[in-house]
Amino acid sequence: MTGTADLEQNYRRWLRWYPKSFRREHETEMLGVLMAAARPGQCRPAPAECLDLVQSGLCLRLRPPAARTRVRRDHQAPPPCRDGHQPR
Amino acid sequence: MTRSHRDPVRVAQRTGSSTVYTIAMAKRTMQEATFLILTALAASSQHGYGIISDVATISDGRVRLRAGTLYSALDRLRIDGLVEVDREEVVESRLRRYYRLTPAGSEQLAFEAARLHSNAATAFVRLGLTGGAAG
Repeated sequence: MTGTADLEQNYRRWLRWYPKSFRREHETEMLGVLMAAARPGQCRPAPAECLDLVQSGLCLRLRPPAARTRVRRDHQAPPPCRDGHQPR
Repeated sequence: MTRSHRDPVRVAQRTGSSTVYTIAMAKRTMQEATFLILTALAASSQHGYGIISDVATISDGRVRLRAGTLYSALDRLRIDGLVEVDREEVVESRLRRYYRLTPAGSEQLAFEAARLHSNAATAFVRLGLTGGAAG
């Protein structure tokens, strides 16, 4: 059980790369997904998972706050994030 | 989402015009991960881990979404009005949020599927593999 708690704590640390507002809404949910996808006995996130969380978190942080409520207009598209979506 | 009322699939089929495609799709080709997420939600609502598993199944294990990628894609799709929250459940003291396609999401997925289908059909024809069955 300690391994599971450690893993969850570890994931929680990596989720700090996400904006606070995003974490408020999605942290518990994302932790559930990360823990469901974990291998039995895993107590640390895999390096690729960490990289994915850092990149996605940074991508959301770099997105202008107004973009989160605006309806997409798409005339001037900035470079895409690695999930293939355009940050705005 | 004013363009969602135009039904880009039917407009494009009716006119056969690439300019209509450009206007209707707002100059963006959908990425494979996004296409697969929308496909996973096409039949019924699913929670995050369900989407990851379903995307792996749909793609024959080729696309394995990670949680970070999935949630930034879902966030974007919600902003774009293509996906919305269906319901929330608490399972083993963990929050599960179920997502579903909006009517605009179904429309966009149908449009993209038609585009890919048309491109694939052309490729088969030019390879001399008409009928779509390779080998």
